[in-house]
Formats: sequence, structure tokens, C-alpha cells
Amino acid sequence: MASAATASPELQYSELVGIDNLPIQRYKIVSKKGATFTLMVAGESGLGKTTFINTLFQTSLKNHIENSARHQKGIHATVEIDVVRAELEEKNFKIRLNVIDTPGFGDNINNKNSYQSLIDFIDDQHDSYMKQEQQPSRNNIHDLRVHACLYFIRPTGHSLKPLDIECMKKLCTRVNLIPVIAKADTLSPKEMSDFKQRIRAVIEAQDIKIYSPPIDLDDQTSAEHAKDLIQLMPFAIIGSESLVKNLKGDLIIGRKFPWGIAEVENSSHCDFLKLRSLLLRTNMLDLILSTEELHYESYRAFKMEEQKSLSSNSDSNNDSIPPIVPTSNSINQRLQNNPLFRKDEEQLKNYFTEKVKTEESRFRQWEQNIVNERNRLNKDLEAVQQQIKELQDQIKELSVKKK
Amino acid sequence: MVAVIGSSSKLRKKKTLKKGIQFTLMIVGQSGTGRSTFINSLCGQQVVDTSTTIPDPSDSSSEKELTLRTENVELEDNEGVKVSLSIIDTPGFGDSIDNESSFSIIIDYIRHQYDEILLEESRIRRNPRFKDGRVHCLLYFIVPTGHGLREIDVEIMKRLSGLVNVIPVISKADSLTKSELTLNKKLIMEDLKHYNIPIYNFPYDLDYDDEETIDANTALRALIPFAVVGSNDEITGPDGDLIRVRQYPWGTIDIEDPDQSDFITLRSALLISHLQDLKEHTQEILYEKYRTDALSDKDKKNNSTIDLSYPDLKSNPSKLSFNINNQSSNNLNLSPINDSAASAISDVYASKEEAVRLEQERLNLLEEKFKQDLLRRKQELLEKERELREMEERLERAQHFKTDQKDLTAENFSF
Repeated sequence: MASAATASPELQYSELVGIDNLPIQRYKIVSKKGATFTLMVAGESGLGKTTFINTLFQTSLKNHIENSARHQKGIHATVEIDVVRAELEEKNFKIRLNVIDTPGFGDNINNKNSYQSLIDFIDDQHDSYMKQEQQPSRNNIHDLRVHACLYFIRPTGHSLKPLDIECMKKLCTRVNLIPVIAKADTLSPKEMSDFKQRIRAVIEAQDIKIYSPPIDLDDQTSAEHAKDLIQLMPFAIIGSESLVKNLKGDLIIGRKFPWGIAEVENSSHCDFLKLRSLLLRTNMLDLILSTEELHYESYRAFKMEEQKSLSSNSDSNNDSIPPIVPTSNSINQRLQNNPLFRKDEEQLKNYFTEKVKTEESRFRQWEQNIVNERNRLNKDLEAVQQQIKELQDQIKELSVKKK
Repeated sequence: MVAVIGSSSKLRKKKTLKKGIQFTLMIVGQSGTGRSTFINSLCGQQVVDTSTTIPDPSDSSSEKELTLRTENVELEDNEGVKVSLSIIDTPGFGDSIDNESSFSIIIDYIRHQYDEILLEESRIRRNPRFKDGRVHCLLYFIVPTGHGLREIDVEIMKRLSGLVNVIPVISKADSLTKSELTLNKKLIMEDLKHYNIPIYNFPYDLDYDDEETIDANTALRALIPFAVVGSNDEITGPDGDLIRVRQYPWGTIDIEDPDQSDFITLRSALLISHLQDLKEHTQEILYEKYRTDALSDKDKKNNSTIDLSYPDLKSNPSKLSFNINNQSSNNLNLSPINDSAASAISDVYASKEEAVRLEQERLNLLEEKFKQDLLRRKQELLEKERELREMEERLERAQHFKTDQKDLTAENFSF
């Protein structure tokens, strides 16, 4: 159309065609539609995950764990997945926020399977989206794919724990992984920088791919900002849900100690502001898009390859992608297995009970038989003894008579 | 009279001065809880290198070995009394993914010390220079999560508290605000009570001890678990002497300030006021208990009762929980049926099989007994029958004889 405008010199158009209005239209559509953002927080209990979420969104999004109920439950044997949904609105823009917590992670003596629930959850979301996409009607897709995972590291001051390394390795290939140092007010500035250095060394040595904001070479300021963020990783954070009065008399978000106040929004105290900017202000779209374009696509490709190879074993037609065959990983299978397993267990239990009952009754019978037999034989014995006695008497009589 | 007592105490002091008091302290806690820093702060000197357990970045092993590391320090107080302090550190505790094996190393060490003493006591010729390696006190460093004790804390303290004086300590207490500290102390004490863990709580006897002792012990008991802050950094304080501090952008902590941490209270209790008490408690109560158990050869096998009632498999939540979290709309909380659950089920079945087998044996025995009884009676029967026949025969013979005789006499009379 543009070429038509310039080709014929007779037609002089004073206005442009109006294609440049497209971004504005897009903006209107997007702002009406709103966005969905799913954030996962992973880490041991007591690292301030719930507090951080509430600090980040400046509202009591999540409830803290009820301490009074901790004895009833018993020690966690499994890692749970806890989803909190909220709808936040700022300047007429709505965002559907999902926060996924992982209570019980790393709390046991043996944590071998701690991260399994997390990984399964992330994979299941990709899987679920994939299946929904392939339905005839895909208007109401329920999308819980995780856009970012914050991994909370305990501020020991030493280095990463083996559990951290294992878990991060598994997470980084599936989701945008952002490691954070929790409770940053435990370490002095020098201790913190040494700690960060060591963590970075481990991450590099172990080949853990953490999320780093893309550097746009065209835009100087945003590139600077991105470089800034990358340098600070892993972010050291402090969370607080309470406002305290500082020396000047202002109310600020912070933690009050007898020896001073650690401020959440003070860059010299912690990296909270930078992390917030990364998550919400500058890179949220990138997190969402990279999840959809990178992680989801690679999962999808992997799954389809798997099915292709499965179906190519049975039929030779490889041109069309066959309908989804439930693989061992799919949610359905696992959900089926659960009740099946339970049924099997019930069956086995019943069978065993039956068996034992029949055996027992057999034994009772047997015992009864033996007892009866014995009684009968005893009676016979009695009878015979009686006979003997009679005969003996007879003999006595006869011998007496003889005399 | 008073003068005599006065001079004798001086003599006694001189003797202890020369000998010095020996004290063994064990410090247990995960990496990064501040053990080494605490040791250095306690002794007032660089005893241990901090951050010695930091692995190589390229080391990806999931199992970190627990090792016991002993340091010997000589401390001297103002009056010249020497304390020969033996500190055992535990780098590597609780750092692996699977920490089941950490416990046995520590427990075995403590028991080994008791065994050595036991052995030495029963020798005919005892070594006069025998070094008593018993652990007099164990400080357990708890990470303050705000949710009470974790599984590893409960397990290790449970197992250790019968063997050694356990004093729980909150590590890196400067990460907690005053209210958080109170909350953590409360939750930890509740958990200790709930799991029945007998820690060393500065015992006192209301009838026997004097008021001062009772007051001191009550005060110490109220502080448990001790909130500890340690530091390797020293600065020159306002008085001109060196003080150990932790420096943050928002403030500085003096670790020896009793308002800011319980460090100084704990140190004086350990090394000055309660040193003897801890030693006595170890010697007279814990060691004696261990000795009794070891010597009486307690049969720890409990006879399993044959119970044919089937346990409700769902009433054991920690092993067989099918956790369905009602908060989330996606029911994706599929707890894996792990090995422990499968073994629990097979255990139940195995015990039932045992029961059935035993029943079978019992009935077999009964059958045997009856058979033998029967056999015996049959034999008796045969005996009696035989006797009967014999008698019958004799009777017949006798009768024949009689008739013969009768005939004879009859013949005689017929003349």
C-alpha cells in the first residue's frame, strides 16, 4: 500500500496511511486484556519467602504459616505446592497474579526428593497448556506456566549447599531462575560481597543458567540498567511488612533492631529495589515472553519428538503429528495411577484378609476335628475299660464259685 | 578456727591453679551458623579458621562428610585459675542432601568416651595419667526459622540429650528483631517440650540450694535457648579496649552487650559459674546412667504381640499421606508413595504372616500331642485285651479241669 502511495505522482496524500497507529491499538487491547504473571518462590522454610511476596506487592497477598498448627501435622514428609491467586490493579491495568509457594522444601533430614515436586509442577503446567492448546475450542485456556522462579538462598556466608546446587541445576532448564540471597541483614557488606562472589563462582562452575535481563544495544539507558542488574546478581534482599520510624521521623519499610534500622528500599542496605525493577518494572514482559517462547517451546518440541518416535514404531506415517498419546509424564496418567493404586491396595488388603480368615477357619476346624477325635477315642477307651472291668468281675465270680 | 579454714582454702586454690580445670565442649551445627566465629569469640583469640568448610566451586558432590575437629585452648581468668578447654567442632554436619549418617558419628564419639572410662575403671592397674575425654557440654546451634525446630534439630537433640548436657543456642541472633527473637525462643521451647527433649536447664533444688543459686539458675533457665552473636572483628571501643563487634550499614553490635545478645551470659555460665555443675552432671548422672545401661546388658528386644487387628493404613500421615491441598484448584499435590510407605505395608503383612505361621505351629504341636496320647492309650488297650484273653483261657482251662474232676468224682460215686 505504501508503494501505491508513492508510485503515482498525481495522487498527493497529505496524511500517512496510519500504520504507525498499530502499536497504540495494540496497547489499548493489551491494557484492556490485562496480563497473567506466575511467580514461584522456592527455598527452605524460614527464609522470608512469604514476607518477601507481601513486601514486593505491598499488600498482604499470602498468609504466614500457622505456627500453632505445626504439631498437628507432624514433620513434613512431602513438599507441597501452594498456589495463591490475586488480581492487582494499578492505573487501570489489571494483572492476574499467581504466586506458587513450596512449603516443606529442604526441611527434612533426607531431602533427596525435595525438588521433585517443584520440577513436576513446572513440567505439568507446560504439559497442561500444550493439551489445552490442542483442544478444538481454546478460548478458555487456564495458564499457570511459571514465568519466574525465585530461589531463596540461606545467608550462611560460606557457599551454596549441595541441595541448592542440585535443585537449581534442575530448575534452570525449565524456568527463568533468579537466585536471591534471603535475609540479607544477616551479613555485613564485606561478608555479602564475598558470599556473592563465591555463589557466582559456583553457578559458573556448575553450569547453572540463571536468568539475565537482555541487553538491548540500541537503547543505551536500558542497556546500562541491565548491566547494573546483572552485576548485582544474586540479589540480596530484605523483606518487611511493617513500617518503622527512622531518625528523621519518616515512616519507612524496614526492620528495627536495637542497634539500628535495616531499610528495605535503601540500595546500600539491600538489592530489593533492583529486584523489584527486574520483576515488575522493566523485565516482566521479557520474563513472560521468554517462558512462552523459550521454555515452553523447548518442552513442546521435546514432547512431540518423544511422541513422534513412539508412533513411528507403530505406524509408518510420519507426516502428520499424531494425536497426543498419554505418556508416563502426563498429569492424567499420574492422577489415574493414584486412585488405581489405592484400589489395588484395597484389593490386596481384602484378598489378604480373606486368605487369613480362611486359613484361620481351617485351623479352627482342624483343631475341632482333633479334639472330637480325641473325645471319641477316649470314649471308646472308656467303653473297653468298662468291658474289661466287667470281665474281670466275672472271672472273680467264677473263681470264687470254683472254690 | 576460722584462721585454719582460711589458709587451707588458699592452699586448695594453689593446687587447682597448678593443675587447671579440664573442660570438654562440643559444638554442633550446620555450616554457616557461626560455630567457628563463636569458638573464637569464646576464647578471645583466633582458634579456628572460619569458612574452612567452603567447598570448591566445581565440587558437585551431594554428600559432605562430617568430621570432628578438636582444638585445645588454655584460658586463664583474673585470679589465675586456668581452664584447659577442649573444643570439638563438627564441620559438615547437616550439609548433605541426605543427612541420616551425620548423627551416628557424633553419638558414637560421645559413647566411645564413656566406654573408655568404663574400661579404665575396671582395669586392675589404672593409668594415673588417664585423660578424661568425656564431653561435658554440647552446644547445639539452631537456625532461627520462625517456625520452631526442624526435623534434623529434633532428631539430633533427642538422641544426644540422654548422653550429654545439651544446651540449645540460636545462631546468628543479630538477624532477628527483638520481637522475632522472643517468638523464636517461645516456639523452640514449645517444641522441646512437645518432643520431650530433656536439655540441660540449669537444675536447682528448692530445698537444698541457697537463694543465690536458685535465682541464678532460674534466670539462666529463662534465657534458654541462648541468642548468640559472635564476631571475629575487633575495634577499639570508647574505653580504649578492644571489643568484638559486628558492623552493618545501619548500626554496630557489641557482642558482649547483654542487651543485644546472650553471648556473655552464656560464656560466664559455661566457663565460670556452671563449669563444675556441668562436669558433675556429666559424671554423676549421665555417665552413671550410661554405665548402668551398659553393664546390665539391657535386652532391648521387645516381644511383638501377635495382634491380628489390621492397622488403619491412613492413620499414619507421615508415611502414607495422600496429600490433597484444598487451597489450590488444581489437585496437583501428588505425594509419591516412597520406599518407606511400601516397606510399612510389607511390614504389616509380614507380621500377619508371622502370626499365622505361629498359629499353624501351635496347632501342629497340639496334633502331635494328641497323636501320641492316642498311641499310648491304644497300647494300653492292647495290653488289657491281652490280659483279658489270658484270663479267659485260664478260665476255660479251669472249667475243663473242673468238669474233668467232676466226671472223675462222679465215676467214683457210681460204684
